[in-house]
Amino acid sequence: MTPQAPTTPKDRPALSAFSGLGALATRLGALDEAMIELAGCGEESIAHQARELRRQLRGFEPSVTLIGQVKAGKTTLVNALTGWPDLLPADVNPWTSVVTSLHMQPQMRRQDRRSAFRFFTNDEWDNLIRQGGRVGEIAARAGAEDELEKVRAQLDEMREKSKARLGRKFQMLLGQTHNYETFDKELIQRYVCLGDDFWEEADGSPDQGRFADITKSADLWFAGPDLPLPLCLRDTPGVNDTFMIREQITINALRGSRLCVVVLSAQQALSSVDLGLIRLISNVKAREVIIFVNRIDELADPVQAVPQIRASIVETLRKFDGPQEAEILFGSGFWAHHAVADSFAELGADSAKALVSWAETHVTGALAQLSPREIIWHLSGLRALGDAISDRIDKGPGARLEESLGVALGNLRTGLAARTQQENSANAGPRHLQITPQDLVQQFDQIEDRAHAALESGLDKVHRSFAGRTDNARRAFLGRATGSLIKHLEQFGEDEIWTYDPSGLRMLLRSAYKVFAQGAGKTGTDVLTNAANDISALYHHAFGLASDGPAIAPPPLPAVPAPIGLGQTIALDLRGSWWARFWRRQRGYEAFSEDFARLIHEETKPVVETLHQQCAAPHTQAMRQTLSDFMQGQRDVILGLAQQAAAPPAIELPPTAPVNRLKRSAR
Amino acid sequence: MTPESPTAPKPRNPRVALMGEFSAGKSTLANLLLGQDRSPVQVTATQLPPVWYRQGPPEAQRIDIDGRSEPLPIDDWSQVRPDDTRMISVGLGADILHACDLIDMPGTADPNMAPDFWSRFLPEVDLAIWCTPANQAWRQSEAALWEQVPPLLWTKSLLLVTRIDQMQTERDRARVMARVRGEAGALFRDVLPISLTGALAGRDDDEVLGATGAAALVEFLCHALEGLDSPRAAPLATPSRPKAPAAPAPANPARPGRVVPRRIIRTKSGDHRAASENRPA
Repeated sequence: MTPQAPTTPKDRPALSAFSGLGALATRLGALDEAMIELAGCGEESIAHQARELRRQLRGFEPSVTLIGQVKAGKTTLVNALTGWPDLLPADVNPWTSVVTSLHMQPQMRRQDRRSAFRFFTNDEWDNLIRQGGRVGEIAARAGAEDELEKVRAQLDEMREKSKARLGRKFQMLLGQTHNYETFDKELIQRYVCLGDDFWEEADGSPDQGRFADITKSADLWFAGPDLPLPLCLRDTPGVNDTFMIREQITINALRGSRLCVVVLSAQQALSSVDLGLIRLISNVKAREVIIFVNRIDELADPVQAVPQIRASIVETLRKFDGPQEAEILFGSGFWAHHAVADSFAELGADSAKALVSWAETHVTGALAQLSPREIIWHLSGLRALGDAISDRIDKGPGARLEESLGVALGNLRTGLAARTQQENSANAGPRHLQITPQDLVQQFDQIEDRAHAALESGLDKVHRSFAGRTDNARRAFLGRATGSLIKHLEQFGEDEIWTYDPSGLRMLLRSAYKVFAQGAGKTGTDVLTNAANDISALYHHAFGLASDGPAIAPPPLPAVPAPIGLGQTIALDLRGSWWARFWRRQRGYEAFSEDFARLIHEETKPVVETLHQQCAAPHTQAMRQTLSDFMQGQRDVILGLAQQAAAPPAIELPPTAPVNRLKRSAR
Repeated sequence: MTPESPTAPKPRNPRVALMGEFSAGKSTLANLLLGQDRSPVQVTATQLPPVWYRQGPPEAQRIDIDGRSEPLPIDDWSQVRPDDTRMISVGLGADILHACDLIDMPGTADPNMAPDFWSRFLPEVDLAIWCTPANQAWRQSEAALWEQVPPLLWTKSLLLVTRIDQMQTERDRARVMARVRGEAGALFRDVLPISLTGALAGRDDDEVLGATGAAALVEFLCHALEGLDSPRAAPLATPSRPKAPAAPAPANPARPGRVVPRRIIRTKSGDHRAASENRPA
């Protein structure tokens, strides 16, 4: 589907991580061929839509976000995945402070690159704090309840520093974007890596990190000649940094990411912070979380340790209701880095030893026939990681795009068939359009009105039943929890701290949301199917098509948003000191249950509200949009055809028709 | 909650707690200091209650949460669960235990352990060695926890940056140490790097102990134990302290704490497989 990109540099053959995207690229390429054909057809309304679809296809850029604790090796991993070992600066200390999106473009020429760096606005800075995901709380990190204040203080300090450094430019820069027709290491460092205030070096560039503290996002575009499709890799600063703003930036980046690779460090796999992070994203469907246990090169005996680490991760995920099906991969970004850079001499003795022992157990069969570089590339686990990412893109956003393009293409072909029919009948006789264009518009309006009305009434019902379910869930949970609290007080008195697991509430809410999604899906499917059938019937009627001819198919439904709100922490989650403090503050039994009821009411309210406002409502809105887009597309084609059919006699239509044909009939 | 270990004689030894997140090298450090391979070391979190080492004939006891004790095999603690056990009390003939008791604390940040189990132990501790691995040194989960301990403990304790050998270059080492000192220096008496695997492998070699940072650690311990100004620490310098059996005379009798480095050097373990920090138990 894309012009042939320049081949890899002559000195080293490329080590590709994402060749697994090839199958999807081939399938999309075939669709593109068909669309090119349609774009060249004589019927302008069809050609126009085919060009639109091609634009959609060209804009397809699946993305994957790497998250994890600071110094888990995300940046080294991202660099190795791009095949460009020194692309983003990595260091032994946390350095990355900005979410960096790497846009790899197969169609770009190798020598071309560009970059854009966007600065925070004041509002965005404030939001950063307010919308934090509270990893600390979920992980019951010590002092989590005071973290918000600390982040605010750090942010203020950072702001003051930037102000002092940038002077009058500071206010001017906020909200702006710096665009460059290129980028290099120094430029990236200036925007992405926060300078070290503990380190002075003679050769240190004064510009390093100059803008890093006010940069919100960095985007780099460059050629990915070995990639079958465009791909965006997103590197994040990481969580659990003492500079907690990095954590806030990372958590905020998660909102826009459907496919995440959680990077763990093999030497401390799945700490409570990792678990908190995984729980935060685990309401996203499990196949969209990949766990990559990095840095196995630092294990003294990876062969023996890796199965133990795997078992421990699986057990912990099971115990804490994490995504148990999430794929767990092991590897080393460090090995991959040296495979890409072809610099094995710099591996270091321990790492080389670990690599050799890992190789002894894992290099078998066909793998042994490859070059040492390719073997190490495989051993580094990056090939497997690339395959896992490709597979999820293929089955997720790739499949969705393919389906919607396929349906749209089929419908355009149906329109084209009607046109051919007209032409044939035009040769055979004078009458080809069976009804007047005005009638056609009117009938189409009726179909559309019917469809919208059916969708609204159906969705309204689904929404009301969803609201009822979530209310019941909250009430039932509150009742059970209060009952348990009173029983605890009767049995143990108030000196013993009482705990209650809120996962029951989450389960009830999750199942309510599932019922909602199913109901909304059924409504949507029915409405779209009926509308498609009605349009098919209109085609047959208007153009005198055979009733067993090609039919109009309904478009696929929009994907159901993940119930992100369920990841929010509530007080009951906090096994640590916050909850104990609440408990100790209370006096008297009545105060306990009353305060408790109020607390739970207040705490669960935002969870339910988020579910309604940020998941359910956008979903129904997307459904409306799907219907509108579908109807608009069909209207354009059918009326375009009608006009052409009516054009030779040309008397019934007003001269402004080419513009008006896109509009609804006046009512 | 008693301020004493059930079997501690009065006046008691100073107590040194080995703390840090799981897999930070606490148990390896315990093995280095004890001169043996007593502490179970494994690559995943070791789910054990605190293990309290004191000088005495070899024995182990499980102390449950109500303070009752029951004998435990000295070499198999696999049946001990942290939820109903207050600690494991271990008698051992290691030289360092003449100078202080060692408490190997469970790793923090382990999702399988209650997040605040450490807090009830802290009042019994005179100083702590907080282990943080160089390759992911001093993260928020550590800083936040340490900020909650009594500030008096800050002034006595050591931040030990383990796995310093995994830094590839001298510059990388220096950068990590500079950042950690900058961020955490004020919360500790000192910040020192160490390569525990290197030190374990070369326990008998002064040069290795110096190069790996083990010698500096021991020196810190000597000064710190000597300098404990609380009355509880008095027994360290009193004659009532049990003498090390058949140990050579201290190099400098005026400073009893000084004996520790030499003893560590001389206490030799026959088992050199312990060289691996990640060796499974």
